[in-house]
Amino acid sequence: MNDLRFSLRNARVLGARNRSYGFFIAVTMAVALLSAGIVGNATTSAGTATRESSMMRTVEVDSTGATTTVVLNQAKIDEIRAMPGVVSVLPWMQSGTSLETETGEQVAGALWATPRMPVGQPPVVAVLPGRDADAALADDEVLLPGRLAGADLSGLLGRRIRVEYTRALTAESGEAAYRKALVVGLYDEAIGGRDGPSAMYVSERAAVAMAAAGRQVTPDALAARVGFPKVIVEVADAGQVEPVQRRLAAEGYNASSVQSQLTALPPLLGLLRLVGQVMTGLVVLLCAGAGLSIGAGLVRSRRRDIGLLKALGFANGRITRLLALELGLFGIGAGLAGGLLGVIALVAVRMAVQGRPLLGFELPDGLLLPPAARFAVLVLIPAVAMLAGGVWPMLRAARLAPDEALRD
Amino acid sequence: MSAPALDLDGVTKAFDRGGRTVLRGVRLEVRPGEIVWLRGRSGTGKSTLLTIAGLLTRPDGGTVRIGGTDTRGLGERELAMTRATRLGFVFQQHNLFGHLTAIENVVLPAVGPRAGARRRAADMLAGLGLAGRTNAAARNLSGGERQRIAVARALINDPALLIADEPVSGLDLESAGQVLEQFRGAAAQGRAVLIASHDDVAGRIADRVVVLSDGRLTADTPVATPEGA
Repeated sequence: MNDLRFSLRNARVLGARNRSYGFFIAVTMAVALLSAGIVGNATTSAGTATRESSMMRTVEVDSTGATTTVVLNQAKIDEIRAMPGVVSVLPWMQSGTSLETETGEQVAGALWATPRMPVGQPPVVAVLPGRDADAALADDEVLLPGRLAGADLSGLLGRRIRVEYTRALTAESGEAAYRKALVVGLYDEAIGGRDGPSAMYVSERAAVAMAAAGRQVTPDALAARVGFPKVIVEVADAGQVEPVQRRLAAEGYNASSVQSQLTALPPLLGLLRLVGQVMTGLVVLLCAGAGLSIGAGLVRSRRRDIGLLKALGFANGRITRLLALELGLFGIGAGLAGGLLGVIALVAVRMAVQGRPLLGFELPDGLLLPPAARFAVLVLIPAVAMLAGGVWPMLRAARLAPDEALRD
Repeated sequence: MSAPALDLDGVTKAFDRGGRTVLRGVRLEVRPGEIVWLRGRSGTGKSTLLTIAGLLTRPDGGTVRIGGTDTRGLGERELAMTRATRLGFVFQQHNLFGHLTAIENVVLPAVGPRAGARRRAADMLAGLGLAGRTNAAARNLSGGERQRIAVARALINDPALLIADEPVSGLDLESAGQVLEQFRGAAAQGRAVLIASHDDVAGRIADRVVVLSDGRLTADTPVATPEGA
């Protein structure tokens, strides 16, 4: 019979004698695993969302700041575009408009003609059949919000409309101007963004044309001389936001980003993470205590067995290894039981929150297991902690004089 | 002539508690193939003598030689190896691991290839009439069966010296007879056997009887073989 098998048999007896320890270790482990699973997945999910969200890859530069005003014209746009980490620089502007259908029906509420950009835009919820939601807008196409001032605009999808905007005649007066357009899609106005819920998305050229008309200049002159109220700087990845933002600020631009606001864990999730950390610490303490107690118990209850093993020719080192194996196997057993309980709890949570966010976070599909390495560490913690707690009593037990042990 | 399997020379032992001297210059030789019956009243030091002979405790004075090897200079690891390979122990209370099966108890101290040890253990158990009990948990066996398994375990490494402390105490006559037959068989194969026993039935198989009294061996006489034995 090899030592591993012998220890396995002894560990089963040890486990049966110490059920209460095993139970508490397993339950504590399960709670630690549960919180690690939820927090880990929610954090990963948040991280992925952050990485994937194009909004997280943008820096907004405003022409007016608290103390400075910068003309964000084409020259400045070119200057910013040349900065390391910058992918593109998109001019941003808005012009007030009102709409009516071809049949002359007025659409209640003002809409702001805004250039549709490839980054940081609210999601499109409906498009014309056969059209890609992310397709760039032609100069005679618009995207409208799903609702405007409480009114449902979905009836306008696919219809031709007339967009009324202002052409300035002097600094203080202007006249109505019109463009015809096709409503090719609707976006979700409930998703907050820089453009506001009453933006009407148009092509960049159409937006520039309307803005230029409002300033009594040509589109080229607007870009070259007047400039834009904002530009949106797209960077290569989320990690570039901070250095690009710092560089822009250093060069006198009024730059801001939304990345930092969205990466912090919400308070409840932070609390859950704390619970998980406390539980992990408790598992370590509980297991170390159990190791010390069970190890000391081994000295008391197994004196005769140890004496017998010595009489049978087992050396001290081998007896120490056997006792360590017993404790370690008991710890692994408790850890695996805790792991199983934790997985069951995670399955229950998965079923309970199916398709819904938990504590404000969207969780990924499938089992909410923590990363494999974290799982393995959690399952092994009881064994390691028990061994650490049991070292001293085990060494003492192995050094018992055999005749003394047998005499008991 | 081969060296004695056990040679105790001038062995003394005192216990710390009260400084009581248990053994006073004991001299004893047990030769291969010989069965020696150690007698004495309770508390005369029989068990202490056996633990010294079995290298479970060191004497305060004198020498212990196993197969001619002086054990005074051996370290803990070498003593353990000597116990495993050259000595076999049988205790009064059999001392089996109750949660292990009969065959697992026998092979537990086996040295060398596992498969060979298991085969040897199975043969030994079959020879003891326990072929059908090899996979029974030790705790479910009778006292006589357990003690026979304990003897098989003591013999698994083919030791030169078998030491037994009250091996038939508490057994019925039939079981005691079976256990003693195992000792006789071991001696017939050239092993030395040292048995401490209150029970006179040990005299049925012994070649010599030595009496321990007041820490000294006061008698060392051959045992007359009963007629027909």
